[in-house]
Amino acid sequence: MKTPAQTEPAVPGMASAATNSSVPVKSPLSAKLSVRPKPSAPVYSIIVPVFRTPGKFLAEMIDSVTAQTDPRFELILFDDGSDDAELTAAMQAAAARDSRLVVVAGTENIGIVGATQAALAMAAGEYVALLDHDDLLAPTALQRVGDVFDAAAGAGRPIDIVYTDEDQLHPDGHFRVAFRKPDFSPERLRGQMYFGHLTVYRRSLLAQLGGFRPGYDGSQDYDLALRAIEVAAGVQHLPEVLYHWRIHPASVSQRPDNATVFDAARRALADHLERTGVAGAVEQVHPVGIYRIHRQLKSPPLVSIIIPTRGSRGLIRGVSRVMIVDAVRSVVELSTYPNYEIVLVADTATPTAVLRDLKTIAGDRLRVIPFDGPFNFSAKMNLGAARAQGDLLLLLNDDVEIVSPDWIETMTALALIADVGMVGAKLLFEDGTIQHLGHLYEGGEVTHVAGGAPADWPGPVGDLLMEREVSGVTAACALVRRDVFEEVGGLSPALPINFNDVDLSLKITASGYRILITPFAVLYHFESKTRLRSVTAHEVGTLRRRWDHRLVLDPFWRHDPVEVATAQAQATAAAVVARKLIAG
Amino acid sequence: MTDQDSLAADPTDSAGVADQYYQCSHLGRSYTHEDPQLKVLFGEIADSLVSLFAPRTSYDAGCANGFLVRAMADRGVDARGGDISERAVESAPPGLVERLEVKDLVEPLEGTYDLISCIEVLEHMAAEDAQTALRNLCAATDLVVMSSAPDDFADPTHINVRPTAEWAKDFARHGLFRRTDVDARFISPWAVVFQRSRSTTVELVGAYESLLAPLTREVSAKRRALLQTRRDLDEALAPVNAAVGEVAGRLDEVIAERDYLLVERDLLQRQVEELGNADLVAERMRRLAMADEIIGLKAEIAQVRVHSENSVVQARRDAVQLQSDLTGARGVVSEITASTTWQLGRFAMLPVRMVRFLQRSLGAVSRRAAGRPHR
Repeated sequence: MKTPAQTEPAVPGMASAATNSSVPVKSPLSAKLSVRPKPSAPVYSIIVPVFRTPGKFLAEMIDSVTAQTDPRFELILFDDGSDDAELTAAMQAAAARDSRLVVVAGTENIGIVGATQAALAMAAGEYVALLDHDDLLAPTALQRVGDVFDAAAGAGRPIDIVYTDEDQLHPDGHFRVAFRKPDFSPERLRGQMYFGHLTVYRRSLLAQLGGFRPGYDGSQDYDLALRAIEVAAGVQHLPEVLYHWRIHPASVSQRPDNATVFDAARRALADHLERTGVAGAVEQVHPVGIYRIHRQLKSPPLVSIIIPTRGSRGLIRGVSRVMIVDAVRSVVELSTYPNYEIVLVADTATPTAVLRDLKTIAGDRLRVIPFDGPFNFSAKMNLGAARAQGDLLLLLNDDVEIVSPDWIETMTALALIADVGMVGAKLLFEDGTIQHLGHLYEGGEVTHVAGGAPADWPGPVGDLLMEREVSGVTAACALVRRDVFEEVGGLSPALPINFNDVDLSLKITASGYRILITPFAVLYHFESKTRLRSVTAHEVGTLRRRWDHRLVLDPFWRHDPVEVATAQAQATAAAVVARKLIAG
Repeated sequence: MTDQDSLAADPTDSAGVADQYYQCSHLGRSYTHEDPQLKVLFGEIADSLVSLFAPRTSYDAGCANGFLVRAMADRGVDARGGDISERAVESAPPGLVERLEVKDLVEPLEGTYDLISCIEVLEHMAAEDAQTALRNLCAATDLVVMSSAPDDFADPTHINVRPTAEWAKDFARHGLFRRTDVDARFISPWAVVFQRSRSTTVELVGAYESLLAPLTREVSAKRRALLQTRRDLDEALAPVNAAVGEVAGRLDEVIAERDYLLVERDLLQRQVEELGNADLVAERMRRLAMADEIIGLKAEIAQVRVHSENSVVQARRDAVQLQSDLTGARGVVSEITASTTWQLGRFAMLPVRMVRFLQRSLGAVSRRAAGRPHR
């Protein structure tokens, strides 16, 4: 995607169209002329509110549309009272050259919402694509989006929304910072308007919703997306960069005074919560427009914290500690959640003195389940689950320390969402760097997202600052509903030590549930202080026999690994410098 | 204090006050000659006075019922006494009463005496009257035994309580000085014997210093002794304190032991419950394992399907590629066939091709013929 869109060479789709009409293809221009369609039957309506667009940008935008490999579109340009004769002339000239262009001029400036709504009202296509007046479409954008709609309909699962990846067109003419979006992630959408461009809606859906709402200027697309996913039959991500967002000093998103935009976004989210029957509040947690939903828990259900242990000692911050005692003490002393029990699955080798200390610390909350047998994390967790009294099972390792007092509330609120199967937490290494913020299954490897990054690293596009869908979470701290746990058969006894949480995650997502990670429940995880992690070939074989096909591409972390590694290394280096500066 | 004891009942003068005073119970006992203890007490005082001073004549100023007068008289002294309380004087028995007079000490005494005692009297008199009385006493004798409580402000009739030093200064003004060699504590802790003397300041300093030195030494010695006692006490108590600590520690141990046993009991109870629930738990675990196995198999099937679908897609891609390669090859072929050299060559090779064609046709026919019966 390094060459400007309008000079892309002919692509296979165009070649086949040319072959059918048995006319040799010489240039894109001749192709365009040869396939000029009947304007009466557009499939796509591309709606563009125009306001004082620089002539060059307008021309490039129009060219990127007319160069589409799927010609069945109409381009609706709604001039929002620019009062610019040159611009008007340019649009009319373009419309004269191509009958698929519809140019409408508003008499006065009515703002982005009104202009977009007016353009939408004129749309006749089956699908509506939203394009900004100075951005560019990739030549195959409509064709590829159409393929996705058609494939879904062909498979009997029609969808209403398709969104694609996008990148930025910089003033030097280069395309940079590709945003490789995750597959449909409703939770993430509640934290960030990540759909962005290109988003294409079925027009009947927009008609049902009444289009854009006034009063949400600057966040009208976000508001529309939130209302749309509430009723859409299906939402599909198309993981290809088909949209180029022009970056220049005058573009709206570059302006610093975005307070009203963020306020509109907050209101849009609050409305979304109200419509979907969620009692809660919206908080903006980052200036780039990242939000947190605080969900209210009306009556806190009993949470069973299941901790397998053998009462081992370990070095924590240079001091030898009985880890389970420290872990339980931090749970009991810090947690604000009122209704939980601690189900301790203790090896028979656990010292009685440790159990006595735990009883003193946790009192009646503690239940001790003796476990007799060789180390088997899965079997111990399953036994704890079988003996737990709550309907929410919080799987926890014994080498943790609580940081967020409201960790159980935060995780519980998410775990109670019907289609959520499991919720993970943000775990930190002893040195404060990220140990876990979600699993990453990519290229046959099982790793952690952003492992070792500074605790406050936002990730490539703020990913790590919000609650979001992930492929899996570690069982070192995971909240799972009992019905889900039983439906998928708990932790597999075939994986006694490693990968049992990966297997559990894949079983849960394979059963149709979402897995969420929340960065707002923070714990220390003194990883591998308890035992050395050595993976056997048998474990790898067991995992791959089941899930090889799910370990190729991670649907929720599609970033370029090299770009992520570079950014993470920079963040780590910056953190080191900052630490040195503080240390003087 | 009851109404009966109240001084506000009817006293109109100091004599009246004194009359009432002697009847009051606050003196600790009935102030009568029938009290044998008082007789012993005043006897002892008289013994001391006689042995110390061997007076021929004595006067007890403020003598009340005359206890001391009688005790002195009994020891051969020509003892006299006077008191402002008529009632007190009159209550004295015959033989004694003649030695007593009703006397207000602000009036000068008649005659002179070897010894005048004035015990717990002056503090009851107004300051000015007390000074007059003191002058009168000093005019009538060279030797005074005086006792006046220096710090008893609690008694409401004590209207002129002064430190002993102040009384001593008053006596000194009249030429009487403390006999530092006499310890008058047989009367009271603050009693002093004053004697007329022409002592110089140097002699007085010597006298007082001689008195002070042993006292200072004694106080120091006693303080040391007190400290030592305290140390000894601490030492003696050390094992006791240790024992107390030990007992407390043992108590903690017992409590810990009790808590431990409670935990053990709970664990046992749980284990008992567990035995009851064992079947249920085992069943749950079996179901989990079954669900795991089923979902695992489903995953394996899904994986096979994905792999086969991928194979099909790959095969299609290969086919498209082959087709395009073929198209390319055909293009090359048609270009070659269009060339003159190729057409000439082809013409030259015509007979050979004919032969090959006939061979292939015959072969095909014979194979078909051979295969027919099997269909």
